[in-house]
Amino acid sequence: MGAGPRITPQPPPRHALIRLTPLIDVIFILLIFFMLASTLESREQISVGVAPPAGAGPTTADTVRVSLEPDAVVVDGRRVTASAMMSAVAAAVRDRNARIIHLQPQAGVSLQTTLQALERMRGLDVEVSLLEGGGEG
Amino acid sequence: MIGLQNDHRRHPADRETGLLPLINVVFLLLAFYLIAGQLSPSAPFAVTPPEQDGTALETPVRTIIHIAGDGSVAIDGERLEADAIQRSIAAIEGQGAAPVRLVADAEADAARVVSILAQLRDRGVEAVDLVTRQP
Repeated sequence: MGAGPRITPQPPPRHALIRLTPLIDVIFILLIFFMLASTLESREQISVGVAPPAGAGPTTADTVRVSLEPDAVVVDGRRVTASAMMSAVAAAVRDRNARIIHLQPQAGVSLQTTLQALERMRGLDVEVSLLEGGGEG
Repeated sequence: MIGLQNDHRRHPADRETGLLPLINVVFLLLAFYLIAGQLSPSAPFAVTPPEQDGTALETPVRTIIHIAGDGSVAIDGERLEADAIQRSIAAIEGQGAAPVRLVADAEADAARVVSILAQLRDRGVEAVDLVTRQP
Protein backbone atom coordinates (compact mmCIF):
# COMPACT_ATOMS: atom_id res chain seq x y z
CA MET A 1 0.00 0.00 0.00
CA GLY A 2 2.91 2.19 0.81
CA ALA A 3 4.48 1.63 -2.62
CA GLY A 4 1.29 2.19 -4.58
CA PRO A 5 0.89 5.93 -3.93
CA ARG A 6 4.59 6.46 -4.68
CA ILE A 7 4.08 5.19 -8.19
CA THR A 8 0.85 6.97 -8.97
CA PRO A 9 2.26 10.52 -8.66
CA GLN A 10 4.47 9.87 -11.67
CA PRO A 11 1.95 10.81 -14.40
CA PRO A 12 1.64 14.50 -13.36
CA PRO A 13 4.92 15.65 -15.06
CA ARG A 14 3.20 14.79 -18.35
CA HIS A 15 0.66 17.53 -17.62
CA ALA A 16 3.18 19.92 -16.18
CA LEU A 17 5.45 19.84 -19.23
CA ILE A 18 3.86 22.90 -20.90
CA ARG A 19 1.06 24.82 -19.29
CA LEU A 20 -1.45 25.85 -21.91
CA THR A 21 -2.72 29.06 -20.33
CA PRO A 22 0.54 31.07 -20.68
CA LEU A 23 0.92 29.64 -24.17
CA ILE A 24 -2.52 30.94 -25.12
CA ASP A 25 -1.66 34.31 -23.62
CA VAL A 26 1.40 34.61 -25.81
CA ILE A 27 -0.40 33.39 -28.93
CA PHE A 28 -3.21 35.88 -28.36
CA ILE A 29 -0.73 38.71 -28.01
CA LEU A 30 1.00 37.64 -31.24
CA LEU A 31 -2.38 37.38 -32.97
CA ILE A 32 -3.40 40.87 -31.88
CA PHE A 33 -0.01 42.24 -32.96
CA PHE A 34 -0.27 40.80 -36.45
CA MET A 35 -3.91 41.82 -36.81
CA LEU A 36 -3.09 45.44 -35.98
CA ALA A 37 0.28 45.74 -37.68
CA SER A 38 -0.37 44.08 -41.02
CA THR A 39 -2.28 45.38 -43.98
CA LEU A 40 -4.50 42.89 -45.75
CA GLU A 41 -5.41 45.16 -48.64
CA SER A 42 -3.92 43.65 -51.77
CA ARG A 43 -1.24 45.93 -53.14
CA GLU A 44 0.60 45.48 -56.39
CA GLN A 45 3.41 47.31 -58.09
CA ILE A 46 4.42 48.53 -61.51
CA SER A 47 7.89 49.63 -62.47
CA VAL A 48 8.18 53.14 -63.76
CA GLY A 49 11.06 54.62 -65.68
CA VAL A 50 11.96 58.27 -65.94
CA ALA A 51 13.51 59.52 -69.17
CA PRO A 52 16.68 61.62 -68.97
CA PRO A 53 16.07 65.38 -69.19
CA ALA A 54 15.32 66.65 -72.68
CA GLY A 55 18.51 67.05 -74.67
CA ALA A 56 20.52 64.57 -72.61
CA GLY A 57 18.85 61.45 -73.92
CA PRO A 58 18.16 60.12 -77.38
CA THR A 59 15.10 62.22 -78.12
CA THR A 60 15.22 61.33 -81.76
CA ALA A 61 12.69 60.69 -84.44
CA ASP A 62 11.52 57.44 -82.86
CA THR A 63 10.30 59.21 -79.72
CA VAL A 64 6.77 60.53 -79.41
CA ARG A 65 6.25 63.12 -76.72
CA VAL A 66 2.86 63.17 -75.02
CA SER A 67 2.14 66.00 -72.61
CA LEU A 68 -0.79 65.50 -70.25
CA GLU A 69 -2.61 68.67 -69.26
CA PRO A 70 -5.56 68.96 -66.90
CA ASP A 71 -8.06 69.43 -69.74
CA ALA A 72 -6.22 68.36 -72.88
CA VAL A 73 -3.39 66.25 -74.25
CA VAL A 74 -0.56 67.48 -76.47
CA VAL A 75 0.77 64.76 -78.78
CA ASP A 76 3.91 65.89 -80.60
CA GLY A 77 2.87 69.52 -80.29
CA ARG A 78 -0.65 68.87 -81.51
CA ARG A 79 -3.38 69.56 -78.96
CA VAL A 80 -6.17 67.00 -78.79
CA THR A 81 -8.93 66.23 -76.31
CA ALA A 82 -8.37 63.60 -73.62
CA SER A 83 -10.81 61.21 -75.30
CA ALA A 84 -8.95 61.43 -78.62
CA MET A 85 -5.58 60.87 -76.95
CA MET A 86 -5.13 57.19 -77.72
CA SER A 87 -6.01 57.45 -81.39
CA ALA A 88 -3.66 60.44 -81.79
CA VAL A 89 -0.84 58.63 -79.98
CA ALA A 90 -1.40 55.41 -81.96
CA ALA A 91 -1.34 57.40 -85.22
CA ALA A 92 1.86 59.22 -84.20
CA VAL A 93 3.56 55.95 -83.25
CA ARG A 94 2.51 54.32 -86.53
CA ASP A 95 3.50 57.28 -88.74
CA ARG A 96 6.94 57.70 -87.24
CA ASN A 97 7.56 54.05 -86.48
CA ALA A 98 8.27 55.17 -82.92
CA ARG A 99 9.58 52.84 -80.24
CA ILE A 100 9.56 55.23 -77.29
CA ILE A 101 6.87 57.42 -75.79
CA HIS A 102 7.80 60.15 -73.34
CA LEU A 103 4.85 60.90 -71.12
CA GLN A 104 5.05 64.30 -69.49
CA PRO A 105 2.38 65.08 -66.90
CA GLN A 106 1.88 68.79 -66.27
CA ALA A 107 1.00 70.32 -62.91
CA GLY A 108 -2.59 69.61 -61.96
CA VAL A 109 -2.79 66.14 -63.50
CA SER A 110 -3.37 63.37 -60.96
CA LEU A 111 -1.21 60.29 -60.68
CA GLN A 112 -4.23 58.08 -61.39
CA THR A 113 -4.83 59.78 -64.74
CA THR A 114 -1.15 59.55 -65.63
CA LEU A 115 -0.93 55.86 -64.78
CA GLN A 116 -4.03 55.07 -66.82
CA ALA A 117 -2.50 56.82 -69.81
CA LEU A 118 0.82 55.06 -69.18
CA GLU A 119 -0.74 51.60 -69.11
CA ARG A 120 -2.84 52.23 -72.21
CA MET A 121 0.22 53.43 -74.11
CA ARG A 122 2.21 50.38 -73.00
CA GLY A 123 -0.50 48.41 -74.77
CA LEU A 124 0.79 49.90 -78.04
CA ASP A 125 3.91 47.75 -77.71
CA VAL A 126 6.27 50.67 -77.18
CA GLU A 127 8.51 51.69 -74.30
CA VAL A 128 6.84 54.36 -72.21
CA SER A 129 8.91 56.58 -69.92
CA LEU A 130 7.83 59.45 -67.76
CA LEU A 131 9.40 62.79 -68.45
CA GLU A 132 9.97 65.52 -65.94
CA GLY A 133 9.37 69.12 -66.79
CA GLY A 134 6.52 71.22 -67.99
CA GLY A 135 4.80 73.56 -65.59
CA GLU A 136 6.50 73.39 -62.21
CA GLY A 137 9.45 71.13 -62.98
CA MET B 1 -3.34 12.73 0.78
CA ILE B 2 -1.34 11.95 -2.27
CA GLY B 3 -4.42 10.89 -4.14
CA LEU B 4 -6.02 14.23 -3.29
CA GLN B 5 -2.98 16.12 -4.49
CA ASN B 6 -3.08 14.10 -7.63
CA ASP B 7 -6.70 15.07 -8.23
CA HIS B 8 -5.89 18.65 -7.45
CA ARG B 9 -3.15 18.70 -10.07
CA ARG B 10 -5.18 16.94 -12.68
CA HIS B 11 -8.08 19.33 -12.58
CA PRO B 12 -6.40 22.39 -14.21
CA ALA B 13 -4.90 20.12 -16.84
CA ASP B 14 -8.32 18.69 -17.67
CA ARG B 15 -9.68 22.19 -17.91
CA GLU B 16 -6.84 23.14 -20.24
CA THR B 17 -7.49 20.25 -22.61
CA GLY B 18 -10.85 21.93 -23.18
CA LEU B 19 -8.91 24.91 -24.53
CA LEU B 20 -7.27 22.91 -27.30
CA PRO B 21 -9.92 23.71 -29.97
CA LEU B 22 -9.57 27.38 -29.07
CA ILE B 23 -5.80 27.21 -29.49
CA ASN B 24 -6.26 25.48 -32.83
CA VAL B 25 -8.43 28.29 -34.09
CA VAL B 26 -6.14 30.98 -32.72
CA PHE B 27 -3.13 29.28 -34.34
CA LEU B 28 -4.96 29.20 -37.66
CA LEU B 29 -5.78 32.92 -37.37
CA LEU B 30 -2.17 33.65 -36.45
CA ALA B 31 -0.89 31.70 -39.45
CA PHE B 32 -3.39 33.50 -41.69
CA TYR B 33 -2.23 36.95 -40.61
CA LEU B 34 1.42 35.93 -40.84
CA ILE B 35 1.00 34.75 -44.42
CA ALA B 36 -1.61 37.15 -45.78
CA GLY B 37 -0.54 40.33 -44.01
CA GLN B 38 2.24 42.62 -45.06
CA LEU B 39 4.37 44.45 -42.57
CA SER B 40 5.89 47.68 -43.79
CA PRO B 41 6.55 51.13 -42.39
CA SER B 42 3.29 53.02 -42.45
CA ALA B 43 2.94 56.56 -43.71
CA PRO B 44 2.34 59.39 -41.26
CA PHE B 45 -0.61 60.41 -43.48
CA ALA B 46 -3.34 58.66 -45.44
CA VAL B 47 -2.21 57.35 -48.83
CA THR B 48 -4.53 55.61 -51.29
CA PRO B 49 -2.49 54.23 -54.19
CA PRO B 50 -3.89 54.53 -57.72
CA GLU B 51 -5.89 51.66 -59.18
CA GLN B 52 -3.87 49.71 -61.68
CA ASP B 53 -3.12 46.07 -62.39
CA GLY B 54 0.45 45.20 -61.60
CA THR B 55 2.67 42.46 -60.31
CA ALA B 56 3.11 41.16 -56.78
CA LEU B 57 4.98 43.44 -54.39
CA GLU B 58 8.71 42.82 -54.39
CA THR B 59 10.66 42.43 -51.18
CA PRO B 60 13.03 43.46 -49.80
CA VAL B 61 13.09 47.13 -50.64
CA ARG B 62 15.78 49.66 -49.92
CA THR B 63 13.57 52.54 -48.92
CA ILE B 64 9.88 53.33 -48.95
CA ILE B 65 8.83 56.81 -50.05
CA HIS B 66 5.27 57.95 -49.38
CA ILE B 67 3.67 60.87 -51.22
CA ALA B 68 0.33 62.19 -49.97
CA GLY B 69 -2.43 63.71 -52.07
CA ASP B 70 -1.38 67.20 -50.94
CA GLY B 71 2.26 66.59 -51.94
CA SER B 72 3.66 65.81 -48.48
CA VAL B 73 6.57 63.39 -48.62
CA ALA B 74 7.68 60.83 -46.05
CA ILE B 75 10.74 58.65 -46.35
CA ASP B 76 10.71 55.42 -44.33
CA GLY B 77 7.69 56.65 -42.40
CA GLU B 78 9.24 59.98 -41.44
CA ARG B 79 7.57 63.13 -42.71
CA LEU B 80 10.03 65.54 -44.31
CA GLU B 81 10.07 69.19 -45.21
CA ALA B 82 10.93 70.30 -48.74
CA ASP B 83 14.64 70.94 -48.10
CA ALA B 84 15.07 67.70 -46.15
CA ILE B 85 13.63 65.63 -49.00
CA GLN B 86 16.57 66.26 -51.30
CA ARG B 87 19.05 65.48 -48.57
CA SER B 88 17.27 62.25 -47.72
CA ILE B 89 17.10 61.22 -51.35
CA ALA B 90 20.80 61.96 -51.67
CA ALA B 91 21.41 59.61 -48.73
CA ILE B 92 19.61 56.75 -50.49
CA GLU B 93 22.43 56.46 -53.00
CA GLY B 94 24.72 53.51 -52.65
CA GLN B 95 22.69 51.66 -50.05
CA GLY B 96 22.44 48.50 -52.09
CA ALA B 97 20.77 47.11 -55.14
CA ALA B 98 17.26 46.55 -53.80
CA PRO B 99 14.57 48.69 -55.43
CA VAL B 100 13.04 51.79 -53.92
CA ARG B 101 9.31 51.53 -53.30
CA LEU B 102 7.18 54.57 -54.01
CA VAL B 103 3.71 54.73 -52.48
CA ALA B 104 1.94 57.74 -53.91
CA ASP B 105 -1.66 58.82 -53.53
CA ALA B 106 -3.89 58.49 -56.59
CA GLU B 107 -4.77 62.19 -56.30
CA ALA B 108 -1.17 63.35 -55.90
CA ASP B 109 0.13 65.70 -58.56
CA ALA B 110 1.81 63.48 -61.16
CA ALA B 111 4.37 66.21 -61.92
CA ARG B 112 5.42 66.12 -58.26
CA VAL B 113 5.77 62.32 -58.33
CA VAL B 114 7.80 62.47 -61.55
CA SER B 115 10.08 65.12 -60.07
CA ILE B 116 10.79 62.80 -57.09
CA LEU B 117 11.41 59.96 -59.56
CA ALA B 118 13.79 62.20 -61.52
CA GLN B 119 15.67 63.07 -58.33
CA LEU B 120 16.01 59.37 -57.56
CA ARG B 121 17.28 58.68 -61.06
CA ASP B 122 19.82 61.51 -60.70
CA ARG B 123 21.12 59.76 -57.58
CA GLY B 124 21.60 56.58 -59.54
CA VAL B 125 18.51 54.75 -58.34
CA GLU B 126 17.40 52.82 -61.40
CA ALA B 127 14.75 50.50 -59.98
CA VAL B 128 11.68 52.23 -58.59
CA ASP B 129 8.49 50.30 -57.93
CA LEU B 130 5.29 52.28 -57.83
CA VAL B 131 2.65 50.73 -55.60
CA THR B 132 -0.85 50.37 -57.00
CA ARG B 133 -4.02 48.78 -55.71
CA GLN B 134 -6.05 46.22 -57.55
CA PRO B 135 -9.01 47.77 -59.38
